Amino acid sequence: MTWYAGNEARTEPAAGAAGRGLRPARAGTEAPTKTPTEAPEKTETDDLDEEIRRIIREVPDPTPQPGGE
Amino acid sequence: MNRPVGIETEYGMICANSAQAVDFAYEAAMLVRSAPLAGQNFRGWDYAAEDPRLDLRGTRVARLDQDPHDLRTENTAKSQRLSRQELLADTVLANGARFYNDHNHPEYCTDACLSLRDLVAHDKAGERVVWRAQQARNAATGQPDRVRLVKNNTDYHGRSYGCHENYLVSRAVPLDDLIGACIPFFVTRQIYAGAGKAAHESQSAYEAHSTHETRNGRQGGFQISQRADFFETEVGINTTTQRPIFNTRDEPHANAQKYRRLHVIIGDANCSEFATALRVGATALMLDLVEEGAAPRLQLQHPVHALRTVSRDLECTRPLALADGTTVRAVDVQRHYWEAALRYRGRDAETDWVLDEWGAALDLLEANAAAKLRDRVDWAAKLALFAQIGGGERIDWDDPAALRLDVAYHLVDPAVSLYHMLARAGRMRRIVTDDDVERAETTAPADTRAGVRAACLAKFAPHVSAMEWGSITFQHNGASFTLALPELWGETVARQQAMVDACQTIEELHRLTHKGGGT
Repeated sequence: MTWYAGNEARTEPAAGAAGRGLRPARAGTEAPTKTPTEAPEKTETDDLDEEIRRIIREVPDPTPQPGGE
Repeated sequence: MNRPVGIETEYGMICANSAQAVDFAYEAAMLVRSAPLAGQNFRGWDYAAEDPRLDLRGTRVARLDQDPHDLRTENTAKSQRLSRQELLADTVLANGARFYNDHNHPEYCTDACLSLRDLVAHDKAGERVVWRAQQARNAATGQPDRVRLVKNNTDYHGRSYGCHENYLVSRAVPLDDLIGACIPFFVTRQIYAGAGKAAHESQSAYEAHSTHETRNGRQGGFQISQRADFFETEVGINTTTQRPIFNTRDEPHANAQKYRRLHVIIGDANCSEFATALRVGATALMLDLVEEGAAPRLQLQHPVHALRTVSRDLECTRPLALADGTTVRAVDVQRHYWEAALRYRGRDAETDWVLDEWGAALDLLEANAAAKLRDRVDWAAKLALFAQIGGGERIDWDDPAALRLDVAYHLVDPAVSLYHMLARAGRMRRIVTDDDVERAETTAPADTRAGVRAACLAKFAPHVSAMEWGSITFQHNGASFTLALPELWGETVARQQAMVDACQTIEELHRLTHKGGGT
């Protein structure tokens, strides 16, 4: 029995999708050191890949803003 | 939780026009004023009781420092034509929240909550309110992409805006004890509370004298925290420059003899519901320890340096120097607090949840398995997205697409937000349901003075002439009277709630308020 809504995410794989949304790195650039290691569910991951790429294409580069607090 | 807690979030604005062409003050004010709001609301805010220059250390500073390198645009003609009231756009919502223009950003402040579930629901309700404000503003201007709101903490050009937590703390706690316990905790809690950032905006960026566009100093790379780059000192009262790990602003918005409001400015704005709950839940337990004199006694040798070290340590293994000459890892520091907090196991289901999940997160981080936190910790979720879209190849962090992916995670529009995409796909653990969030838009948090404020708005809105966290002022028959709200919870609030609920007319409320207002 948990105090929260109980709508826990199902366990999911996320790694190793085909294709690249970002350019290959140049030598000496930092790489993510934590990559998901579980086996992918191909279809779902492919769908998400396409959605991520669409969003990255449509989102503008972040522009300068005033500082806040 | 053993104390009321609220969250105030400044939202970033990505504008279609170039930064120099945007009158940010005008845009933020108009956006807030455009928000379609449910229920009874109040336009305005009573600033009479506010004094952000009061310092917990017993002083009052002459002025708060401003960032000399903040963005200054040429285009301020529209905002200059607005009155102060129009510019601030202060609004008290039917759920007790405050929505206004703070420092040229739309800011949503939840009222104080007693449970993590309430707090997460109200934080998420804020996202929905600002999203609808974005839709309304863009529709009104006929420009669908005039402004996009983001729940993050950086413009990626060297400037930051905040997500502050406010914890009610006993004033009886010696200030040095509070500071001593908070600093190591705040430096290290980012390992599960960080929102992640695909950039390094080190403070050296502040040395660049670019006042208009990107400051020099941004470098590619990924780090755990959005905010770590922007903190320069350990303790202080400023918030927009020389940001301190421990902020000493002394505005309790409550009985100042009994309480402090711990104004935590160092946190990242979390998209993950789980991260919000764990960040606040663990912090609240840390404060329980402080109030009982049971907090671990750890002293970092260089807290500001350690803050940035931890943020860049994706494996959570780098040693942090302690004042006694030994070293610890961030996960060790958190483990000390977690172990001390185990004394609270069994107190209630929520506390047990925090202890379980806090401990589980530390276990995974210690085992170099942060990837397994990608369904609950924002930085891990974001890093997994980079890995996914990068197809297992090394990521070029200087690629503009990296910044676009980063910012897209934080968009409030669910149709284009990568966080929302993950949540829809069932890849993020949730704490509340969509129904909880919808309800929170019009319902005050349970069992706090927020309910009194909400009830007064619902029943007597035409008579309300001023509001702030600690009081409501009414006009009746040409005279004014004030209902003081010095307590945030407990018996006094219960009496005040019952009093307002029982009043059918403003005359009754006037009479009962003069009899003591339930206090």
